[in-house]
Amino acid sequence: MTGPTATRTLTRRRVLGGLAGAAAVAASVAGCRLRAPRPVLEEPDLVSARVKPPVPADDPESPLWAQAKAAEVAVIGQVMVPPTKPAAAVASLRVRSLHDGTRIAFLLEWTDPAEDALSVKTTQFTDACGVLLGPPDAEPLVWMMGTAEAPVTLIHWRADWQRDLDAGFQDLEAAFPNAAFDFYPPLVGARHPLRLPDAYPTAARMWLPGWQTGNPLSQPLKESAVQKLAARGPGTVAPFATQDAVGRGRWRDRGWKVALAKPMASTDVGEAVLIAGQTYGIAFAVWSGGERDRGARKSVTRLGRLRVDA
Amino acid sequence: MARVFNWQIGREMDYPFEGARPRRQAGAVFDTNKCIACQTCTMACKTTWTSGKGQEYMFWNNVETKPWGAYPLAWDVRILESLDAQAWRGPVYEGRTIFEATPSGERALGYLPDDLDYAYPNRGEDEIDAPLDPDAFYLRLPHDRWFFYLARICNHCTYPACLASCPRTAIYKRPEDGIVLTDQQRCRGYRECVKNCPYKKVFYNHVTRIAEKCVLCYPAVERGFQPRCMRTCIGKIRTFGYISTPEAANAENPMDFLVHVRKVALPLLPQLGLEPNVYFIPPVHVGNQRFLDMLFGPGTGAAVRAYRAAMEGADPELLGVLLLNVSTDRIIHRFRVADGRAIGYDETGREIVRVPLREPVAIRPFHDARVGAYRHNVP
Repeated sequence: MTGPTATRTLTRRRVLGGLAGAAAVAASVAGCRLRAPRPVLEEPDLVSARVKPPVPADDPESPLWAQAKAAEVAVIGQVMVPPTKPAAAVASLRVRSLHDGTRIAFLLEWTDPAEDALSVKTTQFTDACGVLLGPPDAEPLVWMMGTAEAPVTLIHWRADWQRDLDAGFQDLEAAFPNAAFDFYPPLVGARHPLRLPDAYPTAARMWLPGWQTGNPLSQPLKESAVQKLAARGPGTVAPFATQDAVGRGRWRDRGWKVALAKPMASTDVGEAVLIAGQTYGIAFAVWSGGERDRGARKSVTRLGRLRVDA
Repeated sequence: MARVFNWQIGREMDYPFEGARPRRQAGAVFDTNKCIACQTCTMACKTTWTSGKGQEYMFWNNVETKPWGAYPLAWDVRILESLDAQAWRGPVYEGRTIFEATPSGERALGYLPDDLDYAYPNRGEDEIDAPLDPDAFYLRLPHDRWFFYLARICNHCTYPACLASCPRTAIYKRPEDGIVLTDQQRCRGYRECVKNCPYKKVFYNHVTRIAEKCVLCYPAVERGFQPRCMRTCIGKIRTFGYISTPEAANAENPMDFLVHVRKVALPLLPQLGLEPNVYFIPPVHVGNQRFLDMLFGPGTGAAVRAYRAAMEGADPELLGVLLLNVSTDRIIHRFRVADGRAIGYDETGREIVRVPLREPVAIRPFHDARVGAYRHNVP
């Protein structure tokens, strides 16, 4: 079988070399393009401030965010694992974090001239962002989606899922408003419009195999715009059995502002547990749908530190 | 990248994974000379697999008219243009495959089609290779213009670019029969497979937002039956079975006989480097040899001669194996020609079909004396 016994390997030297090179590029790009009032950190160095519950887990506009110190972090392209994204979509990302002892939340802000929140057409890709939570004293390799020995937990927000939640499932007609068809065999006699999920009885879902097999990407009814994922290296992302991450994103004034959060305790084996007073490895990523970002085609920060206030 | 051997280009080549062939490889031969573009295969597939919402534009099986037809639009022209020169020295390809021409930071050479590229599945249908010129064309036979039909499905390649491109290894090749499948649970809709399959036989579902492709009707194949597009072929252009590598060819296996023994069936665009497992008997009437060589590799001249000879009665075995096409729903593993008949056997050696090389012909007299009437063709 031709299969996943890949010959590609990530060596420590390669990661460190990539880090150094990418940081140099990022520093020069940041120097040219940024007019940020605060210094740009080469890697995240973030404090999650403790507040009274609840944290603004899904409210990017909450005044509570003012209690968190913002950090402007340099963003670089992803050049370690193909397919790559050599030039970052943005120069930097502004991040903050709050926790209430039960839940830890992050606020990510970045510029994006266009809101890309549909992934219906073949050429449509969604804006998105993610937070990588690694173990304390994480070694550099953890930056690349964790390792077999040091798995990471990701919380991943997607603009297309946000649109599904805010405006209803973005069905075929969202991208093809004039779509016409005679009938769908599993739905003969059904009344138009045939919108998902109501128009599709359970017995007809086998014609939508992604939905039928339980793929989270294919579920027309979303419960959250944020997925909680596990990873043990490039290409290994998989959703945790328990999905309890929450969040909300808002595109305004040519930029995204996204709040996202997860419980500090774990519900699943391998999930990151965050304890007040401890320091963890952390990195951020953003995807620009307009630049056809997806998967490893993303802009990332370097691996840094997250100190959770006691 | 690993080094793997691709017998269709006569040499080793780069591939992102180690080469490990399946225990056996399902494949097919399509005889372009017999295809009438009735699209029955297309509709058999469509009604079986792609009639759900979000699959409207998908044709896992399509029939396009060459030279101008292509679904999606210009799929072949675009990938060939990006590959530079594609030179052969005898049976050895000296150019670069799409894996060897991988741009920096990518997993293979490819492009992502636009939605409009899928909007014209019948573009170029029945069009010849130049505008009609009445003075040059009318009342002259044989005319010097040509076209032919090319039925296409996923080639279930030995070295699939879709599989090589998926960062998540959500596409896999089954060790038991070589069928290439997309894991509908694991796919995250990156569309790297859509981008890098040069034959453009992986599709993005607009509603489930993940990739889908031809499954070669594996539930039927597992039970010894041919896929739907093969079984329903009106023109009986299709042979379905299991193909061996050249050194292991078995002359009694219809697939091996057509591909390795008589060499009348050729891969589609072998220079891309995927070792596709659907083969085509090239059209015998196309005057442009360079076009055929581009499409099917350097063996087209010999294939056309061998096919013509069989049609003129010089090769009863070749004629016989082609007459077994679509003569049964079951997969034929072995065949032989004897006493003016072609006989097909299943995997256990049991005879499953027997067809005459010549159908019995009865010529009735023009005048039927019994009823005192004349027979003629006017209804």
